[in-house]
Amino acid sequence: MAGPANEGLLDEREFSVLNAVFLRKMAAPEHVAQVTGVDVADVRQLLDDAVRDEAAIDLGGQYMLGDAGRARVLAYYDRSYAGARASGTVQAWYERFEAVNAQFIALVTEWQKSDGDERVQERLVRLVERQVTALRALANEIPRYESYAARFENGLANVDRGQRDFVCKPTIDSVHNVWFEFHEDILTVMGKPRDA
Amino acid sequence: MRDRLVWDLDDLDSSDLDRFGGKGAGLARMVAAGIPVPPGFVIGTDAFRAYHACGASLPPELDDELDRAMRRLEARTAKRFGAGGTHAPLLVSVRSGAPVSMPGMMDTVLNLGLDAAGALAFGRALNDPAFALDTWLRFWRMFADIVLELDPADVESDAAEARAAALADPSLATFAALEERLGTFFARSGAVVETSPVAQLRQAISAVFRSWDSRRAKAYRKNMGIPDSLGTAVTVQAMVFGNRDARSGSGVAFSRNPNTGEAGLFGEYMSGRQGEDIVSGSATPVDLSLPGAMDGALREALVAHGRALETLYRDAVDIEFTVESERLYLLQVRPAKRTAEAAVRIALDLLRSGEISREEAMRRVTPAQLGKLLRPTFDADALHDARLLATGIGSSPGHAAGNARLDADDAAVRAAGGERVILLRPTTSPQDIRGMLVAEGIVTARGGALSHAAVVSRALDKPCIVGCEAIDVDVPRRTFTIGSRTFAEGTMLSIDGDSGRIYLGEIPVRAAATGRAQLGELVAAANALSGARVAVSALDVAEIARAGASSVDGAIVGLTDVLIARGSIDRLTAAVADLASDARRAGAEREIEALARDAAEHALRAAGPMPVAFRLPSFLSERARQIVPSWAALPARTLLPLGEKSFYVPIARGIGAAARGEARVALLLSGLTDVGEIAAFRRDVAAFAVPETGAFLRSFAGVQNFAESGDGDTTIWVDVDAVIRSAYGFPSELMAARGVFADYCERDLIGQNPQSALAPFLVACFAALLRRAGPARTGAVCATAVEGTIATTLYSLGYRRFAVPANDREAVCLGLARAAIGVA
Repeated sequence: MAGPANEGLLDEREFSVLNAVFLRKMAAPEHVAQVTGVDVADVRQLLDDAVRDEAAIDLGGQYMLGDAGRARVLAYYDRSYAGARASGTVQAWYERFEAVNAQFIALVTEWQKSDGDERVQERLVRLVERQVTALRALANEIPRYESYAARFENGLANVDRGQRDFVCKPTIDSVHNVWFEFHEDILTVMGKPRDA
Repeated sequence: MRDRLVWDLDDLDSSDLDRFGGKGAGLARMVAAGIPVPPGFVIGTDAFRAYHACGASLPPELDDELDRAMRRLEARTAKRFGAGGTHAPLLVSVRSGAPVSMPGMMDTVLNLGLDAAGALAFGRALNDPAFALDTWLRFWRMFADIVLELDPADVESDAAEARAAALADPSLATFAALEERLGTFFARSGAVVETSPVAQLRQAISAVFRSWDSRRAKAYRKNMGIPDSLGTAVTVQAMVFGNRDARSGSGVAFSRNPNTGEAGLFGEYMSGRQGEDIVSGSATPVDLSLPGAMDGALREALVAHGRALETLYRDAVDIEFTVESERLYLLQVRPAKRTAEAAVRIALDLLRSGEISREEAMRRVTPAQLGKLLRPTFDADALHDARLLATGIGSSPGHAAGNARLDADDAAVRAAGGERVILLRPTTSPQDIRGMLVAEGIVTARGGALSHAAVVSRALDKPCIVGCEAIDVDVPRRTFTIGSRTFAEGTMLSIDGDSGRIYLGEIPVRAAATGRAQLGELVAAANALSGARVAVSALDVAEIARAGASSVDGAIVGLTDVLIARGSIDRLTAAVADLASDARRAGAEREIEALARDAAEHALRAAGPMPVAFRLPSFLSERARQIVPSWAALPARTLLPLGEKSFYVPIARGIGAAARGEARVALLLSGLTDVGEIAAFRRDVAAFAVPETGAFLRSFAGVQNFAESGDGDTTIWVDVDAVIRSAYGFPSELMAARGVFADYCERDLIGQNPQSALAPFLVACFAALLRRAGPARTGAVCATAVEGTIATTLYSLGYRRFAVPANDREAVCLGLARAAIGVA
């Protein structure tokens, strides 16, 4: 049961760690450290605390959120992004993202089915570059989206160097993986998480 | 006299890549070879340097040359640039072209040359104002995207209303209103835009020069060590239109069939249409092989140009072409995309005709293509009898069988224990990745071809069926229902990721025989190039027979495996137990000899003339514990390779008898650790006419000892996986589990996967062994040679003899040849 310790509100750092697990569904501390910039020892500490509070589950080195953990993350979203949900700017930005999202998924599929055709890849990279610009345009509203911009740029640079796994390989921080996590994130910001 | 900055395509030195860039030089080479390309010119990299010398603006000395080049283009095309009125307007494309192609450089701007009056005139000339509008707006979208770095979709939506008005009533007023609307939009976005085509051309040229310094291009150059000073050229070409009149059209052609690789022109053509119409599917093209698909003379010309281009490219090409008023133009030529089957056929055909070298042929077929060709398929007879359960959308190809698991974590645990599983889920999310990584295949009840499951399965190259709505997955109850029938989790399913069919029960998958048949010649070329001899490490007699039939260098097989295949393993273990009894010993020895002889004769018959090396059964192996019921009761000395003379001597006698003096038979003493053991073994079996004896090393100690004090005259096979296992102390179950090391690596707990790359201490040890024993007598048995770098690392150390699983042999041979020429 929820004790006093886990009823407390998450601070920004705790949120960033638990949110990384929430978005990825199942994450190793190393991954969380990489995407949040929080030191890996601190990540481990925070996650072990969450396990003790029954907010997270340790699956042998990989962590998942439990119902309590998910509730705390969602509460943070609700509290922090009530303003964003009401904002016409963010709403418009989000609607536009959904349209871009459909294009993105279709392009990834076309890329896969064409054995990574160069022209398709170029269109894909340009679309993601525009998404990076769009993310930075939202920096006033949601500053932590800068970290997605940086992860996308890292993925794109690898793709440009011929490391095509960075398009959509599921086990690395590929563009498709980052995109999927970001989609989950913006959905939750807008108050419509997929599996809540 | 200062150097020229602008050169016509038929007037430039195509070998001067530094000045004209890859694109410009390539076009010039085509012009020189008599290929009709739309006329155009190249602004050389000298202009790029002048642009920078002028503080990132076009140098004044370019003005005059650019102007004259455009006049020449007008004269050749009988069109006018940047002017409406009575002349047909000249439209151009602008492309970047660096000496080295790189990402982040400016993409192509097409259709540059229209303003409101020009677009209207263009529409009238074609009698198709809608097309003129499309052409014009297509230009604006590209110009916005590429030159102004704005989202083209915004241009589209902002201008939608004005465009509709212009389409409903094509007039100077409506066209000008559209142009103004665009201007307002760009001004609001902070972009400086001019409506005059002359100014737009200059903007596009500047954008090419600027794109050299794009973030992407800079990062790429830095990473690849390409100097920033190289710079880029600009290619400007006239646009041609397949919808100009009834004698025009567009098409796509391949110099060879991209599906099969068969020689001969292949493609399609659409009369009276522009190329985009083929891509967008707005009109149905006609197959070029049909009579009358296009004008006979033009078709002949296309065939001839295809041949000339193959000579230039030394490869099959695909060609985008347009016919404008009976004149053929080739717009875009690239090495053709092709299926795996076509890749092999084209590479072999070009190798045979002397067009490409052996090295080049190896580059033309990628390991991924080979994997596709050799992808196992359902056994035809079993498929015929199989029961179809349901059909979904096949979204990632391949055939697989496994027991249905409804939970990804459960699937991961079971697969780690060696089970083959099919992950069956309502949908998938990143939460399911662990299960997807280890599953043989994935089925989801919901979702389409763009779903998470489909995208991830294709990325993992695993069979996947999505949107199989006939299946109702009940995860909490651990059941799934199809129609009126409910199945328990764990039910065996077979899935076909191409057709989307799901069958009940296990349909065995077999190595693809059709793909394999075409590869013999390629494999021979690969082996000639690498100098490697790649034998098959056979699991049973059927594999020996297949290897023998396809002229493989040889096979290594465990005598135990042949005995199992003969159904006589129980008799052998019973005989071994009898060795402990003085009374039964003599009879047991005779039995062992007879069994060994029968097994060896059987295997040698299956092999045809191919050499076969038999591994002596070793009671040391973990497998022996499982097979021999009385293992624990064996005298401990029996576990050592030479611990029980009454065991190995009769076997040697049996094999010697089966060999009948044929030099192709060898007997390998397995599991030994010392040079002294092989010498003793030889003495013990010297009398039995075994043509060759050798050592089969399975431990780190064995490799070390033979590296330090081997005689240099013994045939040695090293079981690389077993040596790794012994060096790390891992049990074989761990080595056989899927994804466990990869997962561990992923978590950064170990630096490298010991199964896919050799640690430095092992590299040193294998190198020392080869120095001592020599490459002619030393072979490596690699159970996992396709993935990872172990086989290629050994090759780079000088190993030239390998034995690999039968299904992997072709891929390993190609991989070694590619390693020999330094491609991954």
